[in-house]
Amino acid sequence: MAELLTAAGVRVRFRIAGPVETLAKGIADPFIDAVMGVSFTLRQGETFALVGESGSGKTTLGRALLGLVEAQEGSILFQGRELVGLKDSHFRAVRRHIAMMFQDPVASLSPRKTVRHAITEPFRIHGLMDRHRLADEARRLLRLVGLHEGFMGAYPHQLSGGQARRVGVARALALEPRLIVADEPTAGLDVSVQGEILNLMNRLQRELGLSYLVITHNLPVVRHVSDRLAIMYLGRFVEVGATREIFHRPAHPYTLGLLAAVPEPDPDRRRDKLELQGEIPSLMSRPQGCEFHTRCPFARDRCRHEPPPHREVAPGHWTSCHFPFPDPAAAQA
Amino acid sequence: MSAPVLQVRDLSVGFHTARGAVQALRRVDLTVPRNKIVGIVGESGCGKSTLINAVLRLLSPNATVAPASQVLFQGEDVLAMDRRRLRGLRGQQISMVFQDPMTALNPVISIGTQMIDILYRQDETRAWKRRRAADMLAQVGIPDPHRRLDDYPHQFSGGMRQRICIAMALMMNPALLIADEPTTALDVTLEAQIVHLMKELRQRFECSMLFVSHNLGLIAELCDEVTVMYAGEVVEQGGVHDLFHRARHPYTRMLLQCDPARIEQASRDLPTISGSVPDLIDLPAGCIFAPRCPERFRSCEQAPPATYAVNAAHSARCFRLRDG
Repeated sequence: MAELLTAAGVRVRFRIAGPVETLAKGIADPFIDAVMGVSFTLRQGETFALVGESGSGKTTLGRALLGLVEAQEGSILFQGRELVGLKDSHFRAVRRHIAMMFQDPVASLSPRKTVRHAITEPFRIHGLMDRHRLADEARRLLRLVGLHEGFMGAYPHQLSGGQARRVGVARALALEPRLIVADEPTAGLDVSVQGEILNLMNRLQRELGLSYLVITHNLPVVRHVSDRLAIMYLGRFVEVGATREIFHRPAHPYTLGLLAAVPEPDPDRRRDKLELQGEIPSLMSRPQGCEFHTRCPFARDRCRHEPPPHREVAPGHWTSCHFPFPDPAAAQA
Repeated sequence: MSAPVLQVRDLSVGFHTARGAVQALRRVDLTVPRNKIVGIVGESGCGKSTLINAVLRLLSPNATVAPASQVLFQGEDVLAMDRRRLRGLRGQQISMVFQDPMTALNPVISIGTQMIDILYRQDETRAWKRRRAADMLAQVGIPDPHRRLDDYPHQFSGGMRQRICIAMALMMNPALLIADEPTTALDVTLEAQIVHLMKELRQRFECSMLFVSHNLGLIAELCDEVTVMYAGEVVEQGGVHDLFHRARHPYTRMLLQCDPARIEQASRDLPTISGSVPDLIDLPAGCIFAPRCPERFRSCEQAPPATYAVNAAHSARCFRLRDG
């Protein structure tokens, strides 16, 4: 598969205090790193998932690809074009090819505009104004996502969660993008509808050769939709690899903890033990050494002082851990 | 065996709207036995929230409760209580944990004050109440509770806020705790922690619980008995093992099949339930699920099925059970 997007050492920083406040309060570093040097490639027709808890930087990374937040360091090559440092006026042309499906589909649609308006807006932004052609495009898009033409005049509040999600997909597809960044595509949907949306996304991928970057914390869904995935913690990738490989042989204790935290829908397999204690630390006070050591049940002395290298434990399977699984000593600790 | 904490009998609730009467709940029966956790599962629009609001008498003014309905809390009919009695019921004998801990807490009042306020009726000193509040925070795993009483909600993380809401709900030692999607706003690791906490507390406080969720995994993890709702009706009830391993209603079985966590083999073609929930103003003549049911036959479209027993604790509203 050809590479569509290559990210190398991407870093996104946010200012948390202004210059005066920094001086007045004696803040050592007025910046936090929401994304701290991540690298990955996305191939044509592939689904790559970013998985992590809130605050892990997954949404920020997704937004950086579209230039919705600025990446200060690193490189994002999309179809051979460098996106880091690209001026806003030039980004517009790129956004024809990278579309976004926002997290809350109802909230991402203007309550006072009809579905027709929402899904034809991308065309208008890119200069297509002809009313008849816009109407044709709107009909084509609704058909593509399996919505009846009658929805054209509907307002967002008249849509069910699943229908609003389909409108979100239609809008993302408007300009025939190569890549869709889908932020929590199934959050807030009932399980019976969740499958419909995922099946739709999958069908569109096959028919249109789309690539997806799926941002989610829902591991059961990830297992079914993604080819490869990255587990994020405090803005870094702690584990990257093929979905199958990671679900069968997780190498990082955080991945293991996330997998164990998903409740099994089977009353015979109840858990009596908690794998992951505590919560994700603040980006303002990153732990020393391995940044996960404060929550890691297997942390040893070395983890507290020395940051682990990001290394390949199996072909295409990378992790940042001093003692990755299956390390017998770590398993006993 | 002692009497159940909550018994809902034949509860029907309708809402007047411009389009007509929405029959949001129809002949719902539900029992919460003492020291048990009863789960309610169902998708959006199934009537979970209306049921909770009816139990607490918090229905909006355009709601009507059918005359035959009964909500018995420790034998006393909630629907017949006067305002005074209701005030004593809500928050004291029945308390509630909401979905979003940020909106459930007042952002401009310290946690300590909010917790102490709950005890306004108790004739004790403020110092005693503060100790009690700190003690409750410690019970739900908030470190350094005495100092943190003076903090405001925004100074706590999401998981901590939900722990505080649980502590507040338990302040009055309620006989019944209602938890409405208490972990939906939380990450999966925090969700696991909250569920773990609820299991611990349940043993410590001997509290009965009504746990509402659309997450089948959580229901399986926590509940003793499960009620499955669809479009305002209870379609199946039973012990948690019966429900998950020997479900009899087609809707329950399809719901279980749709859960991606239950599908062992990774698949790009996930099962769904085709069709949509019926209009609750203009109900189908037969079984409420018939329009979407792959197993329907002639009777299903003629009249609604009764509730048929599978065993003493397990029943489903489906004609397939009547016909064996």
